[in-house]
Amino acid sequence: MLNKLSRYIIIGLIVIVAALYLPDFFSMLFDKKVNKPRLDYSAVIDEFVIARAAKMKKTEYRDINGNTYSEREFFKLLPFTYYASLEKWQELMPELKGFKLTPRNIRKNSQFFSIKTKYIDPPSVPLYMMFEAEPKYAQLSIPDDVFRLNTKIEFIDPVSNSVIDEKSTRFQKAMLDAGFIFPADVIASNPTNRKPFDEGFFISDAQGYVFQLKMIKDEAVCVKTDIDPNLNIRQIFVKENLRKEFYGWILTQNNEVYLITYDKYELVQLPSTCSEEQYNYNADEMSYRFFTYPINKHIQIHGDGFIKMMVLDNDFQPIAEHLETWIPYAERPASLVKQFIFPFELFTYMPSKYVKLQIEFFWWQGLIGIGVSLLALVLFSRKRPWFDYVIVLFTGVFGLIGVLLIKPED
Amino acid sequence: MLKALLYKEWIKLRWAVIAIAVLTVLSLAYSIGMINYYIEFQGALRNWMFVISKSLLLRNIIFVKVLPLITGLAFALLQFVPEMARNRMRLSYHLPISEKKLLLSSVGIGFMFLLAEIVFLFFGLWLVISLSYPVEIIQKILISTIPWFLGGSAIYFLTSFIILESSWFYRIVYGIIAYGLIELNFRASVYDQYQLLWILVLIVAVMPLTVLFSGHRFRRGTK
Repeated sequence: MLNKLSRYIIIGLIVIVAALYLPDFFSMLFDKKVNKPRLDYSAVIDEFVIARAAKMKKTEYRDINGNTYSEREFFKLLPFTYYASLEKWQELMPELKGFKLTPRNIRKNSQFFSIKTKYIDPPSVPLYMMFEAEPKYAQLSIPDDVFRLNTKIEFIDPVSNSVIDEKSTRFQKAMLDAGFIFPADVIASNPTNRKPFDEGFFISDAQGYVFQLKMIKDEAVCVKTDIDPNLNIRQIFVKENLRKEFYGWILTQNNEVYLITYDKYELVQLPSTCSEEQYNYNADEMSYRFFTYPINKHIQIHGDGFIKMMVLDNDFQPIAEHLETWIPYAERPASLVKQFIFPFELFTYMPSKYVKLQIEFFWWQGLIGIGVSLLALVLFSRKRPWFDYVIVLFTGVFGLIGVLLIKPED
Repeated sequence: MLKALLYKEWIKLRWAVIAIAVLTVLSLAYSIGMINYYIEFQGALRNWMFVISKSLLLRNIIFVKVLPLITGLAFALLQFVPEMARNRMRLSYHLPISEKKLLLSSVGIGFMFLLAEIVFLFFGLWLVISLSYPVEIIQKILISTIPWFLGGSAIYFLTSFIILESSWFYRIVYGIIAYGLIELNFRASVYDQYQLLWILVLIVAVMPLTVLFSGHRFRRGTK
């Protein structure tokens, strides 16, 4: 009995390894690169424009009405993106819709951010660095300590690896005085000194209220914002920019995106849904990009098989939207054939930064592979223990490999 | 009988157990030196920043990744290669103990020594990093080492299983399977990256039973 069990464990291990590597290997061998378009919006012609790889390693440039352009003509349609090259070619137009186009002017009035799945709650060590927001020197300097923030705030001296009581007490008091209720929930900052200034931390407390915590001249400054505590915040992102339009952005559990503006922390909701539900932003699978230019704002939602682009005016009112699609991975020939051959696949990849052993079943398509595997077992290798057939019935070609390789021993 | 088996396995493994323990102590001492060197030359805060944001410690303690693998491999080779040389295992099968009990006991005893080395390494590492780093970093590092220890255990069980197999064809097949299963534990590049770690624990937990099939085939003389 134990010998039989041992055999089936070996077959089980073969199934695991086969299901981990074979479908992956199959995709690697047969999947073809997809020609994904680059979508943008031209404020010059007020139309969406597309750059796409064409034959002979060339790129095809056109707008969505079918007009085609040369590379230079295309660049001239997008002065906010290609201003450096246009300036070099001396083809940067002097003015567009009342805005004076100079590289410096464009840079000063543009900002970009993206929310990728790997940015959301990545594996990290919960220790943080508080910069001095009004430093003595021209640049922000790296502080001498780090802090932990959970049921209380504690600054730690890395040299002695011990808590700095006095500073911890001061910050704890400032937070409590501002109405902060421990433990802290979402903690966000931009942990680099390569930024023009520091806006400190945005922290949500136990009741969902959001606070801004900064250090000015070594003193804690904690401000309770009016951000709705029922927003169901998933992650806050902070990015200091000299434009000072927004401190950062918020992603909620419902996949909504909000900017935290400098106007008393007023939130501005950015569009994340559209008329076709399958293209609504889903933070676990898609990436979200926001571009703010001097005369408008662009939003792009990138998913498997599509780019959805929305254009807003400077008051965040929608101007235009466009959807470009291509064949998603699940519908490409390599993936379809894979689903017919294998009943399921195991993988550890996640769009986030974690490693997690997961299974994906191919359901009815997989039944074909299972049927063929069972037939092969019946035709080529009869007189088998009944449980071998059960294994092949549930694991298809993976189980077939296992039971054929590991023959039963009486 | 178990006591006698324990003694027999100890005779085979004792020098390796001592050598690995010494290697562990030396590696831990080296890592103390290396961490101190980094802290001295980078500065404590800058070092902490590299440790926190760039997973620097995973590189400084690379021996924790490698030692369980070496230990598992060495223990399996030392325990079972002499048994399989000139089919000496057949003699063991004449002992007044069932074949299954004999195989599982041998693997169990070997794993006990491996586990002892792993526990020694784990607590040694805990001590070393707690000298310089706060509890948040210690927690993340210790959790990050669990898949490596599972990888070490997997290499022990699967190498034993491969050595006990008498057919070279099966050994090659098992070798490929073993590579796939061991590699599964070494896919992280930053701290605490694994989710659902219990599935990997479960996979390793059933591995000791694989030796029974190899042992059974050996007894029957199947090639």
